[in-house]
Amino acid sequence: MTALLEVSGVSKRFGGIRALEDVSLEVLSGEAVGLIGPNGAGKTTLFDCVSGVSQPERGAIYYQGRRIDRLPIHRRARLGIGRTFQRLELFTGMTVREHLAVAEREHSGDGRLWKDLAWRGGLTSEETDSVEAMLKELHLESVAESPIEALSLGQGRLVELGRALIQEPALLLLDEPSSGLDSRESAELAAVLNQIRATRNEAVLLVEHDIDLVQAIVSRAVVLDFGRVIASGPLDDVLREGAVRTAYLGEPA
Amino acid sequence: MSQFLSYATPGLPYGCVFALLGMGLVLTYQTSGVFNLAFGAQAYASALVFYECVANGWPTWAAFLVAVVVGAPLLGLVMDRGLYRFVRTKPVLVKLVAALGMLIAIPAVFQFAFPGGNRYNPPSLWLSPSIVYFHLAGDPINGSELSTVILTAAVALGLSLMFHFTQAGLRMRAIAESPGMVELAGINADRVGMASWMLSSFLAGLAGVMLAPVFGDLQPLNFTVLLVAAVAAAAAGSLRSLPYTFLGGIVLGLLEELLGGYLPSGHVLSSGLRPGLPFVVLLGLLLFLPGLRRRWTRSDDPLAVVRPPPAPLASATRSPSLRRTSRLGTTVFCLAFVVSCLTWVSPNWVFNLSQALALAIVFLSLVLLTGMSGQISLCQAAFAGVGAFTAGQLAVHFNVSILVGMLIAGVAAGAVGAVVALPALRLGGLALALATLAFGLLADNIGFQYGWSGNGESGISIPRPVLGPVNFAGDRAFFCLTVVVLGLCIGVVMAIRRGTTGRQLAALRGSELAAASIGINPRRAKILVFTLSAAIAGVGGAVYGSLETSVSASDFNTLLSLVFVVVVATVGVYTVEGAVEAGLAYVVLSTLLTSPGLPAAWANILELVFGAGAIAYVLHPEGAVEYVKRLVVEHLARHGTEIEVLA
Repeated sequence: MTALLEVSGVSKRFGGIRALEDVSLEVLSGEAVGLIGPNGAGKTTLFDCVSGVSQPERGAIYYQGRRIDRLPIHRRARLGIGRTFQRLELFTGMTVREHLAVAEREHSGDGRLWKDLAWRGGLTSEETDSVEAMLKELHLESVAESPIEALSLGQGRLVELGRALIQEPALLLLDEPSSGLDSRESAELAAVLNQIRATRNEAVLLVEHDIDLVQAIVSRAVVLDFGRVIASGPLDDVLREGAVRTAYLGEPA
Repeated sequence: MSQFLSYATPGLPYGCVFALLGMGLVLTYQTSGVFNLAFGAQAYASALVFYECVANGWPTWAAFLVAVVVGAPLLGLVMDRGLYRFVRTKPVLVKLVAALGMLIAIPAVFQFAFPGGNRYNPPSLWLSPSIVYFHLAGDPINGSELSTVILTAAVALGLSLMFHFTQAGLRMRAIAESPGMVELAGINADRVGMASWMLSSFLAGLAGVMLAPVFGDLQPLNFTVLLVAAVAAAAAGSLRSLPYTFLGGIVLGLLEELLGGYLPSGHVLSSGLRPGLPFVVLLGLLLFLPGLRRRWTRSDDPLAVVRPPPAPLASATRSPSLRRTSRLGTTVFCLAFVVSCLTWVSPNWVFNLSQALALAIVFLSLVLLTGMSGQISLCQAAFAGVGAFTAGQLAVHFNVSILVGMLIAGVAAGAVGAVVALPALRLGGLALALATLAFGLLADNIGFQYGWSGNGESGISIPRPVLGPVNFAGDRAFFCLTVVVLGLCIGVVMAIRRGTTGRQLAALRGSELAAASIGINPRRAKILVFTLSAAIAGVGGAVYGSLETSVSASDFNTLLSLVFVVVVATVGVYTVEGAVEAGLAYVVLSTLLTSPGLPAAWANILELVFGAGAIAYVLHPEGAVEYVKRLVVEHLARHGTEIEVLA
């Protein structure tokens, strides 16, 4: 079986800093993989290379067997790669429902300029249903009409998640979903993520510091340190490895 | 070689002035983040004060002291304290509108203060222009040229000494990197910004006074156009390097004279390319200098301020009963307006109001572009011109009905818009604004000067349409046509707003990165909206032209594009009705202020009002109309009307 996502020998440097050095990893269909490592290890850079925000200097990235590392962000999104952001990237001035609506419309591909001009640009009933279902799934019904500025950080993360999920991505990239959340909010987020994992079959690549959240979701992990992969395999094995404990958990080997 | 030198030499003084202006621009852009489009206006102000002082018998040195050494920095100080210090952390759009407001208001203030129409033969600053001091490569070097070069060299030397050897210079350089960091280091960034505004205003004043004798007459427009050369020089320095800016200015000046020398005089190229050179150079630099693009798309400041959310519109505060009332009120008002215009309103005013509605169509294009997608265009008047001239030429030469012509005008303007947008939209923000400014100037100085396009100042005639038995030649009949076309255009804009495209634009305005990550193609959406907006402006231009029955290049000059942006921003750029109200406000005010019997200087009040409006825009980006509406809603809420406030 070929991998859904295959990162092969990717390198990237910023000036003199080596952010990624010959990084390779695989994500299979429906699998949840954790990408862990200390701050500055290159996790977000790798995410950016996969989602298209930046281009790797060497190496290749394949998605569903197709090379994608030169495609612009929106083309990758249309192929089924959804993502969230470590620093929230929400559409200021729009309500929660509108966030989901705009994503759903991109997913259904129903938008045409002539339809807009013929006053037929509103959501179809299937699209509306899908938006309602997503609001319900993420428990966002009560804030559906709120502008995004009025939401808490945790709710904002849920909106980002919903915006990605409503497009039914085959691969979901989650960039530190728990950063800035307190432990209760983190636990709630883990519950939502698990519920989603149980009902859908998206593959997930998760960057996360919170080991509890990682353990709650992923079965396999890849550890980065100073831009290199220093360990990978089943999560429990990886966490037991000495090098990982030194690099990540700060314990002496 | 000697011929080359003899062509190049006269370009040096011009180059010096470009360099001075360019350095002033870079200085304030670096320290306050505002790209000061009002720079030319400041130069004009100093030149005007200098002229008035000398005309009143003051000695030259005293006039120089008042106009340049004291007056210009004072103007800079007032602008910084009164406006620019508030916009340092605002988005690019707000900064631009603020600077545009100043560009329009400053000449108006000074013309109002010193009434008296055009002034000819401005005095020279230092050495007399009528005395030839020596010959260089066969060119006579007169006093004005010599003094310009000497003064510029002195100022450039002084600046570079200041930046490298004084504390103030060091602070200014540090602020350019990160105002936040500098403040954390215990330096008052506000103070440094203020100093840089005064310094750059001094440069503007000096350049203005030196340049005035070259023009022969003292007109704000001359100085505004000069700005583009300064911008091109600044672009050559990637908007950050003073030495390269200086060099860019000099090269540009030399190049202009060389072109003039080598191109056959009387040829289309020499009459077209030479005045257009700064615009061409600017466009080229914007498009092909990669350092420039990086500079403008990404902030290097680690403490860059997060953009605050826009102020809520009144429509975010709703009450069912209030909404019913306001909808009813709007309908009744519109009906009464149309019926009045068809019955008792005098033909003169019907004509004026038609003008307002035709302008409203052009303004609508800005609501679509700026209000809905957060982009800015400083060449909407040029698009309107393309529309008007297309419809007119088709009607005159091919007997195409103006009604069909209006459609074709929209298509033609849209096509031109797409051509402008394709390269320019890679830039975004400030660079896009400058590229559209350069295009607008190129269009009205060159594009509209040919017989097959706008026919220059003599213009072309555009007939009023006839549709079967209906003849729109009468002003009242044409008024109806304007209302219908405006209604259709409003329909288009509203349909786009509530449809997929509108949602995409709203998303892009919120976060381009996130929008792309859900599959929206930012480039495509922006080009689409730019094209549509140009098309609407083109239709508006065709309607306007047909209403006037004859239009020339000066009806669509670039200054007008700038005024349009400021007017719409003042009145309300986020709503469709804002465009209509802006059209009405602009035409009604200008008609009233220029009505016979009033002092001529009163015409400047219009520009003053909208210049001040741009300042209001900085504080209330939703515009005057939405602001008043919100006041009303809040007032009602206090008095017990049930109002559901969102958020």
